[in-house]
Amino acid sequence: MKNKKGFILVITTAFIASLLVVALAIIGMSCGEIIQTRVYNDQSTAYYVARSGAEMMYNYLKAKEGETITWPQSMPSGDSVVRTRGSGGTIVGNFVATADTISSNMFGIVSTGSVNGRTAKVTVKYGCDAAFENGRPIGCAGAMSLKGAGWWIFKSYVRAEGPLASGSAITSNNFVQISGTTLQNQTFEPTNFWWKYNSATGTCSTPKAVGDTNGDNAYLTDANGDGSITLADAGENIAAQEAFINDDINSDGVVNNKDAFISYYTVELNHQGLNIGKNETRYYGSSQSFNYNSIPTGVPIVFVNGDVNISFNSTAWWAQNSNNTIVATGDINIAQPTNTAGNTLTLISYGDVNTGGVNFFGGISGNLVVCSVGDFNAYYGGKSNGAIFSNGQVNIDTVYPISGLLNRDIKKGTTNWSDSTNWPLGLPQNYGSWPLKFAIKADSVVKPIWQRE
Amino acid sequence: MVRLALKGHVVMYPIIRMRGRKGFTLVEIMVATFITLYTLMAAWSSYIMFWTWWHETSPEVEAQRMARITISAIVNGKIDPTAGTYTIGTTTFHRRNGIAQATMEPSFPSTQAINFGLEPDTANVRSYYLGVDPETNHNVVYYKDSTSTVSKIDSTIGITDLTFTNVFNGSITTNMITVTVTVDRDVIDMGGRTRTIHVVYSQLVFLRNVS
Repeated sequence: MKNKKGFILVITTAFIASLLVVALAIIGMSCGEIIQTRVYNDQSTAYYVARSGAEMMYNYLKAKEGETITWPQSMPSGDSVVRTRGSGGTIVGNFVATADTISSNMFGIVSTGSVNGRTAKVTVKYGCDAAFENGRPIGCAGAMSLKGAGWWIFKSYVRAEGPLASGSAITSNNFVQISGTTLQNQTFEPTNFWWKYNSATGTCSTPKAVGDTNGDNAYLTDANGDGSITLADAGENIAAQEAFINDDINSDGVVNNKDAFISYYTVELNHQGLNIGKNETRYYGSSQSFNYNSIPTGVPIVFVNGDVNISFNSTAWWAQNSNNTIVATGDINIAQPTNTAGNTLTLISYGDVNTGGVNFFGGISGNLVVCSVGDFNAYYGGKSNGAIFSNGQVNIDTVYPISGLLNRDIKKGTTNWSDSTNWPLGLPQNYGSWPLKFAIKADSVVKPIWQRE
Repeated sequence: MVRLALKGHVVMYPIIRMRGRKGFTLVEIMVATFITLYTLMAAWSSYIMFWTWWHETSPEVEAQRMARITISAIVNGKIDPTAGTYTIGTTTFHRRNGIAQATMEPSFPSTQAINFGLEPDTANVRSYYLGVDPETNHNVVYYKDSTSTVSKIDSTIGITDLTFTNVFNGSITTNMITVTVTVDRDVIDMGGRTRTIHVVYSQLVFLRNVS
């Protein structure tokens, strides 16, 4: 037994050592689990810190609305910490947030949150207006009425980006969402057509005297004060009678805005080589019905002495990818003026412009520019980038509460009109334009999209 | 005394008496045995305690981990090539396929499935749903992408149940849903008794991209 001395002590020590190993292993695994939980917790916290950073960046940019912005944007130094609530709260984490453009009318915020060395990144995209000038989103010299429809859970909204401007009152109901400003009782200079071709500039930008339709400086005024310029105002003066006859373009016995309207397109604008005078291919002497194949390829403008009816089509009604203008001395009635994305369809009417189920089934697109001497009436759903101005009233009504189908979305135009090459063909010089500064579009108009990187 | 002669010197050393030290006394042995047994019992008790704790706790820890991973896989998702990319400034980002990124009101073909759509989608063409893994015969979460390609989320194999519910607060809210994951595990304790660990993880998900 001499060699067995202390054997039991050795065994005991070894046994205890093995227990310690087991215990250490268990403690190690437990600690590992705790560490894993903390990592998960830090990552989750970093995500919410990143989200908070994106929200703070949004507020920072929101305060810049109305300014001209240069991209990319960063938060000012020092504004990069998220704290617990209350004054002097402890620091939860840090973030780095930047914003940059995605397209001309969309920007994105990238925010990276950091907590105990763990990071998470989120992005969010917002709609916006870049600083540029385009047509009035919706304006009229008369009253404006906007109506959506609702019944039980079925709702159809009028959603206008605005700003909305009216020379009278603007009325709406609970199913109207306007993201821009609403301006009532504004003073407008009505769109007129008393413009003469200026050979020096190559544009119809020289004003004519009212009554001098042909711009020859020989014209009558309302001498007898009866409210109109007629042959009676010439009296026995042969030269004055001749001037009247020359200025009465449509031979209806009165010289008025309609003569100026016709003259503007068939005489003055024709100086630009558009060939829209009488007996030209772009001149229609009576009312017309168009569909998407009825306009010859390569024709940018047509003049119709009468009414225009544009028949229904679920895609682009205009056959080719181009900007087009329709001018009518009567009313323009359209079922679905869809156009190819990025193009502009300009409707100029001496009467009313009436639109039906714009985009009821199909995709839209393009910019719809409306200039009406009469009213602008839009019924049922659809959407368009709009620049609408009516010398009369604007009436927009979704009529039926069919959710998802009959919303009427009228957005701002997407073309910068401060560039003269973008000015819609045929619009007179005093057609109202609207300078747009940077503004974030309302969530109801362009839904922000959050992503976790 | 022992006398040693060394180079003519005589050195005297005392003789060490070993006879009385050749063993332990009975008292010594009894004390040593008592201490050893006491130590062994303490060690055994500790071992039993750790063993019991571990066998009962580790399945619960594992169940909670599985539930957590399942929730994260469904809510946050992972980068999905079918969801495409987008560019902010000069940086291109990949989209994830978690339901938190859904851009339209989801639908629920059953309580154990959700159909949803991401930004590039025009309808709810993606799904998460509970199914049975044919290899293990255990429940597992499947993901179906916009091309109808189905993939199994391996880390969720073994969950017991998965449910999706709309949040009701007086009226139906379409942009808040609750994802609930249940994981059950049977554990045999030291007494040989079987008991079931029941872990339920639930997360309220606000679908920010759904107006």
